[in-house]
Amino acid sequence: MKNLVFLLSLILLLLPGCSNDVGDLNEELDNPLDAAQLECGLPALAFSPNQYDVAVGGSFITDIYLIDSTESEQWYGGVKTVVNYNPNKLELIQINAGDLSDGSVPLFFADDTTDGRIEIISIFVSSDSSGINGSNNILLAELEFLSLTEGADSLLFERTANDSCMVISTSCELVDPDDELVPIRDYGDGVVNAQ
Amino acid sequence: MSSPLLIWGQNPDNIIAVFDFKPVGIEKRQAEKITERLRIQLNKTGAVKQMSRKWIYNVLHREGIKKIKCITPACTADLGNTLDVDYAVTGELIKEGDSTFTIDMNMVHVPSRITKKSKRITLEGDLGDVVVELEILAWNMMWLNPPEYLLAKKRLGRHDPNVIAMIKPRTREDALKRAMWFPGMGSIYRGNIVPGCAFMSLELTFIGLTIHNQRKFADLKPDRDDNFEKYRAATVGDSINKYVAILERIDSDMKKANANLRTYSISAVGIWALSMAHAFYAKEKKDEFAFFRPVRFTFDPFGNQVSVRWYFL
Repeated sequence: MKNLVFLLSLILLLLPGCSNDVGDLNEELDNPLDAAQLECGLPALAFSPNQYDVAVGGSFITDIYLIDSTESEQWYGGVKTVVNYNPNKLELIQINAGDLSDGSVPLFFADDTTDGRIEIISIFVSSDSSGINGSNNILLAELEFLSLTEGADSLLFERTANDSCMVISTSCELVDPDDELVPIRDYGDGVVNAQ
Repeated sequence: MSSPLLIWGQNPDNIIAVFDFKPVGIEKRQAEKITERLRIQLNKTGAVKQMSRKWIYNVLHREGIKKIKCITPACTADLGNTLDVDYAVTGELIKEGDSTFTIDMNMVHVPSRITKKSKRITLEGDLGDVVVELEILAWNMMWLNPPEYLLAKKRLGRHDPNVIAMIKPRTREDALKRAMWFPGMGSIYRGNIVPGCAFMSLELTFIGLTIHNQRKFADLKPDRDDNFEKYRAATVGDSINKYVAILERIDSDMKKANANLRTYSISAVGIWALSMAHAFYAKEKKDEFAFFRPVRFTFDPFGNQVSVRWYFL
């Protein structure tokens, strides 16, 4: 009887069989520049990487990208990006120009005179008045921050939204080579965890 | 069983009577006990029906025969005729020396009065060895090969651990314990060689397939991690899409390997459980085998021949 109980327990224990834990691929795909991961559509502005774990007193670099579909035929002439952050927690060290201002006469402006607010303007200027195609993600700017205190903070594109996809107003602008506004569909903010 | 026996002139419906062997130099009671062992083995052959000792001597007493003095074929035939049996067996157990014995045995076909089998064996040993010889002789009298354990008893000695293990009853509980160690072992232990080997090969197959799929899964894991790193580091849309496609393919392969892994491991457990159930509930097949090893060398003491035997069939 004892043997039988042991036997049945053993079989019940082993019956589910061996298997490995295979995570859901879609949940693991987390590249902020992956257009397929954006819920509200394209084009979009995003930080990459979008999550930073830094030590207090340590610095980190984040990039701002303009994301568009690989099949997009849209051309872009300039971008205005406004980023908000908590100046008590982060300090901007420097801003570098990205690929959009790589034209023949590069134009890149960054205004960080207001605490916690950075305004970046990047314009593509070329002799033939063309723009830059967005079929591959375009690097707009490179920001370097210093972490001041412990805790979490966000790097936010300045906008007012009533839900994640419904943007009421925004300071960010995207224009084509003819200076026509192109609506920005999605924003990928960044999160900073300082420890 | 009956067809090969008929070819050799034996019929399971024939009746045989074995008279107590005549003791010379040993006690009468010992001779009776040894003869009884011969009768037990004759029963085990299933080749003939046997008249019990009690019945034999009841009939002989009724016919006025108080004591059997002769062991000649003619005399044996007469005795058999009195009992109305097909075969009659008489014999002598002679103690020649301290450890030398002789067995003298005659089996007579009563209706024809022809001696069908006559043996005179001299052996060194004790009365236990005489018993072993007679037990083997019982099978030879019926033109049958003695079971392996009897031959092993003669070859290795009665006290050899292998022989003792063979004689020991093969219980369901012991079979179950063996089946718990590895599928098929319990069934083989109980004499069910074919199902036992089938369980073993199926188990090995499923374990092999499980290991194969686990390896396949493990081989894909670093590839997946590597491509994930590349995917996370990619900034160009085309590269991102390329790595997503690679990751999807790897993920699909991993899921397939994982599903197979589960199926085969469950099958392996199922076979294990079936094997244990079979070991416990299946009927024991006696004398189909002697050792756990299904293929082995044997020695036939009568033909003085060494041979290889296997017990899959």
